[in-house]
Amino acid sequence: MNKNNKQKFITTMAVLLVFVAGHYIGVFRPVENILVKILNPIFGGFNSAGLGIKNTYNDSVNKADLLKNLEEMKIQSNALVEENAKLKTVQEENELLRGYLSFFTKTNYKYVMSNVISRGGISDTLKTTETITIDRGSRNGVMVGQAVVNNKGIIVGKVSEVKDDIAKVFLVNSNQCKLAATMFNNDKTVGIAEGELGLTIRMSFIPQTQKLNKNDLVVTSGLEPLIPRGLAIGKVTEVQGNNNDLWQSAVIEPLVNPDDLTIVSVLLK
Amino acid sequence: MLLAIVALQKGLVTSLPYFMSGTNLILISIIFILGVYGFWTALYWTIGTGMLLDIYSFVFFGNYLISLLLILFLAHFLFGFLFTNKSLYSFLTIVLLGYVFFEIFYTFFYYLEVFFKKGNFDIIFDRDFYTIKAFGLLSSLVFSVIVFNSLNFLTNKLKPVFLFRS
Repeated sequence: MNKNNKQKFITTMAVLLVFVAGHYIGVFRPVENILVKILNPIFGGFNSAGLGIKNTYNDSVNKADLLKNLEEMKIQSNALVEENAKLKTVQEENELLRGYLSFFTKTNYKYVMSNVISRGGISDTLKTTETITIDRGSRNGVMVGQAVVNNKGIIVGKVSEVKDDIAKVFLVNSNQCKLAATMFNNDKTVGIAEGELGLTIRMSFIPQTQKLNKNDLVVTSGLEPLIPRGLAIGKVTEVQGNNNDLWQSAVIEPLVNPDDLTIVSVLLK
Repeated sequence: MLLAIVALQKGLVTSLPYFMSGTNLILISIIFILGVYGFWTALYWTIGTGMLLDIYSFVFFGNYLISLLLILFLAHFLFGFLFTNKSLYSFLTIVLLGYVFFEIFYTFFYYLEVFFKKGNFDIIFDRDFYTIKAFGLLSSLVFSVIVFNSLNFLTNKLKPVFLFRS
């Protein structure tokens, strides 16, 4: 590197340092916010296009009819789970629980709708199937710990980090997402539901005295300050633990496929 | 162009099927710009893309920037001192090394931040995670072959030059 180039390089690095320092001081925040505002819709568009490609790929590798049947069964199953939960709520004459399952129309929770603009990162240490980035941030009232739901009111994740105009959400199948949960069984079992391997959810440390059944609905318990009670998380697919064990655990299947998420809502409460 | 490549990387690539979601377009663009247009253009491109990625990143501001700059310096060194020509094989080798070292640098700085913030060390020993990374490397190499051949068609800068005695 000759003298001129050396000087040019040092100047470039100095300018770069000023920019980085400017970011931390907050001088460039307005410029960054404008950039994010411009880029968010573009990112969202590309993300939808990517999902379209992904879905086309999935369609081509699976038999079309089988996939269609599966989708129909999933929708039917979700509808039945919701219906089942509604019936139980009526049985117990609990007005609150009935409201939770159709909270958007029957409760006063405030929410903000947002687009999914990205998943994970280039070199995210977490799998891309476990996090999403949404185009709403602290300026829209989004806070860390708030619940993120889909159009049916099923919880899909929890806000983990927030910037001015974007926020990162850990999906329910991520082991970083821990939710205070309760089951719709006779014992009203409570516990912590956390993601496992990016696929399922596990509820552990349940006393052996409590009776768990397959297909029991698991909902949020309301013990977390920013997450209301009664948001459907999933249903029990497997109960693990021998009679000799002190605790038992339940494997819960999420009701939402993370690949289907393009628009979500953050419950502001 | 710069905004487009970042939008493609953050918006499109991350939502593609698993075998393509690990493709690192930014890294490929830096290496090819270095090879075709030289160090200074690549440096400004790296700064631009790095800062944009950092704006969207939830890791500390500068992680992408530093990691990408280190990769640029590494690629510049390899082009200058190790590879005698700008052939497809030299590009592929640099993309391969760049991909691996970018992951190492990024993860190192990420854990450095976790260490100083006293956060949880979430080291992943998960087959799926590394499978995605391996496919990401593979798809990056395939994409590099496509870019190399396209550039070879459009420009003479990658074609070998032979000197003949008159």
